[in-house]
Amino acid sequence: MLILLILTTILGFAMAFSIGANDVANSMATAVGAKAITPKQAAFIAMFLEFAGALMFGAHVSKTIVKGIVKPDFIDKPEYFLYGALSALLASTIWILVATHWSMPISTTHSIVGGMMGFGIVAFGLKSINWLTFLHIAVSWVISPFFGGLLSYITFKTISSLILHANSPWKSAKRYAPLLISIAIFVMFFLFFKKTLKMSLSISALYGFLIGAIGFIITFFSIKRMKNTDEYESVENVFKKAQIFTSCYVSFSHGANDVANAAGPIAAVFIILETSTIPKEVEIPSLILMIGGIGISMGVLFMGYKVMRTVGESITYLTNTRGFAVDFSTATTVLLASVLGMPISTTHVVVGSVTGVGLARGVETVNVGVLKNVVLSWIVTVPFTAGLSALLFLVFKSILNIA
Amino acid sequence: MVKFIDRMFPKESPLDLMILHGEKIEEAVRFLKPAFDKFFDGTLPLDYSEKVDKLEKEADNIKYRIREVYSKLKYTYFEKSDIFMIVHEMDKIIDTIDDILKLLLMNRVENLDDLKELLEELTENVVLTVEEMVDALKELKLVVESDFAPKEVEKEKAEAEEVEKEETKTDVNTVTLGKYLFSKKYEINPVDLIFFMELSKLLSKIANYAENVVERINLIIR
Repeated sequence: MLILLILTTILGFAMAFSIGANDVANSMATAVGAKAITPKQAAFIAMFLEFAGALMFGAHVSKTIVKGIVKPDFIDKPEYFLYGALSALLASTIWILVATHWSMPISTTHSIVGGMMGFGIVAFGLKSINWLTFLHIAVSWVISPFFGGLLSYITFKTISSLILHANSPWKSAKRYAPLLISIAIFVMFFLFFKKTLKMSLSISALYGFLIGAIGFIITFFSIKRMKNTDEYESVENVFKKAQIFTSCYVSFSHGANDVANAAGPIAAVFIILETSTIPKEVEIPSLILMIGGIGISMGVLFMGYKVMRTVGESITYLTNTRGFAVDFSTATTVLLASVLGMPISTTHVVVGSVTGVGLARGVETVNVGVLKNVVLSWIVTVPFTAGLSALLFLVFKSILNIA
Repeated sequence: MVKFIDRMFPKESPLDLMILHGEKIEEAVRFLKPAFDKFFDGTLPLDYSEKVDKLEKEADNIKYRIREVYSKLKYTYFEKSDIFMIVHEMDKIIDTIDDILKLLLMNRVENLDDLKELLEELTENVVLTVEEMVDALKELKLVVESDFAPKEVEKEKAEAEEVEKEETKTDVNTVTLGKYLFSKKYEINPVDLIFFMELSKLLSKIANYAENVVERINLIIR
């Protein structure tokens, strides 16, 4: 039992580490690229916020991963579920590592969902899979990049029409930027109070509004003190500062959303080992979310810096107004999905948001070919991890002689 | 993920590269006036041509980088063919500057002060045309950064008009120069006459290419 506990923890930690190492570019890429923060600062900020997001927001999605795909009623043998969760975790970790080696933009969320499905089908049959839940999750994969894209399109067009198209973009930025930034603050805190502190809708909205108003005042006076050197450059400078906030927002929401991919299966194994049953209601212990959060943070700290530096050198012309639109849309979509319990892919939302800004004529040039790779990864990831997880489960079953 | 981000965005902005290309041309065109001065003094050194050769190579390198950015399928503001056409026309400018400097090294003339003045005037207007063209390229970057703000689009159109005005002036200069040359057809050595006509045509071509660049810019921002 102790060996299984250690093995599960190591596997879960390894998966969380790879999530942190690879996905950190999602949250901080635009800010580092737009020179709002240095790669080192980005890595440290991301490390703390990914952990905070994982710990505070992570639980809901984890529950979906654990009990949502395989119907608990069909799980008659807890040990099957135990080795199945391990198979899913191992299959996902292998797939993430392989994909990282090939530099494929895969989704860690898709991997674990596929892994859970694979062993579920082999262990308990096709009927054991909650196809409605899967459909719900799969639809969210398609909807989320569209939503991210739509939101970034609207955000950028709003910035464009209110500020960039004005006679004096700088004067308009002074007028409207505090409003746009305070909206971002409101959304983040509203969702934070609603989800983490479990406050009512109206109270969450009220507190969110109050903090947004404080944000408005701070931003208003900060911008007032800024000097206008060049109309567009000054506008970009305003959003450069705002981008530090929005990228933190993405980092936080990424931790909240993606910790589930590692924490979910660990939780499943821990609960089964402890109780020998699959409970109807699964509560993800904070300790497990912490393990996932630390794993992601360590991935960010030890490998994220290198990723950030490369990203910083790669994206040299994604300006701050565009970066703000991408970050705000990504974070809002991911955090909203987190609240709704939808295990979506942050990578796909980033792609959706960037495409949205691109369609709004925000970025000079975007490689559309990459989008094909993303679609390909959608198609490949779930069957691959499902197949590998099923195979690993059968191997475990035969080696350990599980009846 | 890094590769994904790498593939999602090109490493360099094509517009920034175009401006850089334009600045190389601007640097090269500014050699023309001192080169003509030295030519009429009979002291034209080889190093002007060498310096422009170096700039031409640098401009070529930038051109390849622009092509590299567009080599894969991209979502872009502007059609690939339009950008390539603009860069191609810009390339012709630096090639022509190089041709002029090489041509100046081939011949020597004396006692043609009137002609010197006319050529100086033409050269000055050609340099101005190219400088305005580079300003138009820089303005194009602002048009994009402002998400095609009507105010910036108007400024870009005004830049294009400036280039067209300068180009018209060079046409006038060329005709004046041609008239002068033919009026002296019994006094000037026929080989020199052909030489100066060739120089005048090459200078005029530079202004034409610059005008082509801004005309295409004007088309793609509509």
